Amino acid sequence: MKKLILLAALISLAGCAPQKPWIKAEKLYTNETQGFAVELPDNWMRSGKDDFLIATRDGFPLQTIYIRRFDIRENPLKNTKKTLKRDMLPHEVAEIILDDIISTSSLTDVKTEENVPIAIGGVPGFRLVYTFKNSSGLKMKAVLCGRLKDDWLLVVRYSAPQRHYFDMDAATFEDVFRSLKVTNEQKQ
Amino acid sequence: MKNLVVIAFLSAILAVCSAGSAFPASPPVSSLDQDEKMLWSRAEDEQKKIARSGLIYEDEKVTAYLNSVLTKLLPEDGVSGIKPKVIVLRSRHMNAFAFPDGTIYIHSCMLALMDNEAQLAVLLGHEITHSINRHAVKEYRNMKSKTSFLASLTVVGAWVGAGLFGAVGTLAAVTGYSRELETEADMEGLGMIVRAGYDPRESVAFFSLMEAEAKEENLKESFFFGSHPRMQERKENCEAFLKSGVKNSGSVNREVFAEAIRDVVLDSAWLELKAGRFKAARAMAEKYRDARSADPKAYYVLGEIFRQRAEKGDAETAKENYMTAISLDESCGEAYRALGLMSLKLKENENARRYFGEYLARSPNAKDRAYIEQYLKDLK
Repeated sequence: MKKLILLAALISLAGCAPQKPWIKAEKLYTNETQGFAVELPDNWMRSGKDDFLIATRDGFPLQTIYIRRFDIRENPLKNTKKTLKRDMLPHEVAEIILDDIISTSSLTDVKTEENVPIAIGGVPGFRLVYTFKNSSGLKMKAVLCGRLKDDWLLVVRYSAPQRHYFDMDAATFEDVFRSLKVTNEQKQ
Repeated sequence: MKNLVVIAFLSAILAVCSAGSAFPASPPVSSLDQDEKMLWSRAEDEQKKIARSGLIYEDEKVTAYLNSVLTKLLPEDGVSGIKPKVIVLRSRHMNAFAFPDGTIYIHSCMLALMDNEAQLAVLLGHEITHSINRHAVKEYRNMKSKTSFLASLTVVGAWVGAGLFGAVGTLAAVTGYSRELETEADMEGLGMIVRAGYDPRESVAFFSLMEAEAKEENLKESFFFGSHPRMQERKENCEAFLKSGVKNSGSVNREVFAEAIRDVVLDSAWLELKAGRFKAARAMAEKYRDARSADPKAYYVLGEIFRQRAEKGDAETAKENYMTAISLDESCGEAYRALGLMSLKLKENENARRYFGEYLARSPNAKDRAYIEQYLKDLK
């Protein structure tokens, strides 16, 4: 019996081991799985995951740049029951994403500061700027740029504590965002 | 065993109902035992966190009304040791909970779901009994491992409530008290509403509403009932109470209630809409429209619900509602915006131009002005 318990403990501990650690971000990051490439700043780290990019300089809670493409057929919005449809206007997509953020139970006091149209790689999209309180009650600020092309929603987000940290890397984020290239529009 | 507990409570309550008030008095804070002082101190910290969260629904009239209902349930000279009060939290989750000091938090969508003041009184009577009868410390003292009990509650609270609830809040809001304490809160709460002149039959109606809501949300039990006696048991408690010889009549105050919480209902319709819960949003919006039939906001939110749901026939219904909103208030720019978006998607370009123009004329500082100007440019 004791051996069985020990075996179970070892199996569960094995499950806790990190799969891939944070690694030093390369200057030009290319994600073949996600079909995009982006230039990352010096002295930043990124996660080694294949299905999205998450990068930070001082640590995950202090500033984060997150890039991911979602298949809207898989219903990526987890907090609102609304769904994205491929014929939606950028305006409508932005509002549904905001609704999803507002409906997230771990975020409170969500306030929109900006919601404007932009183009990403020549495709009409949106840019949201919003503030919220995270699960620790810390006031955060985020910029979320996105676009919907066919069945693929591309999201590029920068978030940081509103006080001090957001402004510190806001320009860095803009540089990263400007460098973004979608390398495979027909990502499958 | 359960029947014995119910009978014991019923006997005590009937005695109180016939003999007047007999509220147990909580001791003053200074004379609390060490463990209860610790719980009160933790509760105070948690309440400060809630106050900073931005979740509090700020409306003095609504708060004053809710507190007036709570006051009706309590003896005229108050309850010593606690300071009963009600605070509304802006949330679509069906929940309500009380802290040891007598502060009751009620989520806005739960309030909006209720039909009348008697149902509100059922909820408040239940919750304030937890504070008056010091259920938090009783529950705490019954736990074998107090440290792990508090730690596990904090983890659960962080998960379900944005980290807003610490251990005391989670006990009150999420996990609930033991079945005996919940039954005590049910029974003594019902005793309070009878003494205050409310119709106790509304307790069953209230639990039925909550049960329907839990089914709609596909929850085994909504938080309000999580680990509480199951809803069916609680309804049975109420039915037993109704059959115990108490007067099965009393005031309901439907109109007063509807008027007092009308803005909460409208706000809840928007919260439900954002969450994509179209059926609940529609129910709230129609409730608001029934109470305020000349208010364009009622028709605008209904229009938005149908436009965004976009099922067969919804476009026409949405349009009718927008038109009604405009007929009631020509300055309702948002309705023009929505009509413009609908026209744009239907490629009715002339209409889209006209509606967007009307929108920008009425809302020159619209937050989405840049989008609309872009659409107008593309339509040229």
